[in-house]
Amino acid sequence: MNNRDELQFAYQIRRRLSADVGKLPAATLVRLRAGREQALARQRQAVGGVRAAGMPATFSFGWLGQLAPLVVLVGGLVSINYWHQSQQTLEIADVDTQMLVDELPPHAYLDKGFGAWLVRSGQ
Amino acid sequence: MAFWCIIRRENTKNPRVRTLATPKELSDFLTEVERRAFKQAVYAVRNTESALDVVQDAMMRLAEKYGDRPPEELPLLFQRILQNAIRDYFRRTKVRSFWTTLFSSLGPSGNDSDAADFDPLETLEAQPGSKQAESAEDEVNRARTMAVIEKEIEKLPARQREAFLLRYWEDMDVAETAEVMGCSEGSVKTHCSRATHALAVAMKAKGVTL
Repeated sequence: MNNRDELQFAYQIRRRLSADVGKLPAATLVRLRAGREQALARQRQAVGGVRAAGMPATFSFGWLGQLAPLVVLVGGLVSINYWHQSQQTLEIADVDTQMLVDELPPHAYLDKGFGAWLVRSGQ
Repeated sequence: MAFWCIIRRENTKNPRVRTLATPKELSDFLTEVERRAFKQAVYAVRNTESALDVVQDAMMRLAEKYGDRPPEELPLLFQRILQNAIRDYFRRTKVRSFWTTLFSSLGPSGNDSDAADFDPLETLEAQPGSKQAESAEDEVNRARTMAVIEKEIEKLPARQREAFLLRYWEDMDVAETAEVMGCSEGSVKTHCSRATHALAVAMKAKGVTL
């Protein structure tokens, strides 16, 4: 039996099987239908009925919900960093303002003798 | 939600986005495949009730776990699930028979007599549809041939039967059959060839021509 004969024989069997499958008893068909309906009632459905390749099959708002705490954490860290930087800027601006409005000219702080006097008087 | 609607409308242009099986698509698919699945299960487990349970189990598993897959993936998934359900059935039966033989020697063994009790005349009585077109003798011969075919398919080793039915009845190509069976394409070809030879020899021995 060569390949062609094999294939021909297999398709003859297939033809017989397919013809016979239409003759199943009514009771069997009823059972199959009941099983099918029961299965359909439990069909898993994704939100929107669409999925992009690579996206998890279970994509849903539940999936987004799991991501929400991470989003809140990252947002919080960014806010704290921003607030910290603006505080530092305000402090530097304060020092600058005080130095500029002081009676002592700013270049006095560059004088080594004045610096030594300040240290000594501080002790 | 609007975003998803837009994707859904445009997904035919974008191969990265696939439409998922709607309940109707899944229903159509199951309707199309359930009878063949039932017969496959009958050939394997040789019991109508158990075969119905196996098919129902497979349909449930497909709907529950893979009901949100694209329709073109369903045939392969379903076949894989069905073959696993058949294997699970044998595993359960093995465990059950172990405990049954351990605790009792009264285990009923007369459930699997469907094939043995097959009477072509019953088929004739149940199918009056095409009687006018052919003689009763033709009908009896056809039923007899069918009974022999089914009996011989049942007798095939499980892997050969699986490969033969998937490849030639479910119309899967060699690669798909190999994927469902979890073996190489070479093994699928060998199983199919052996199954076809075994069936041909058995038919010839019984004087059945197709």
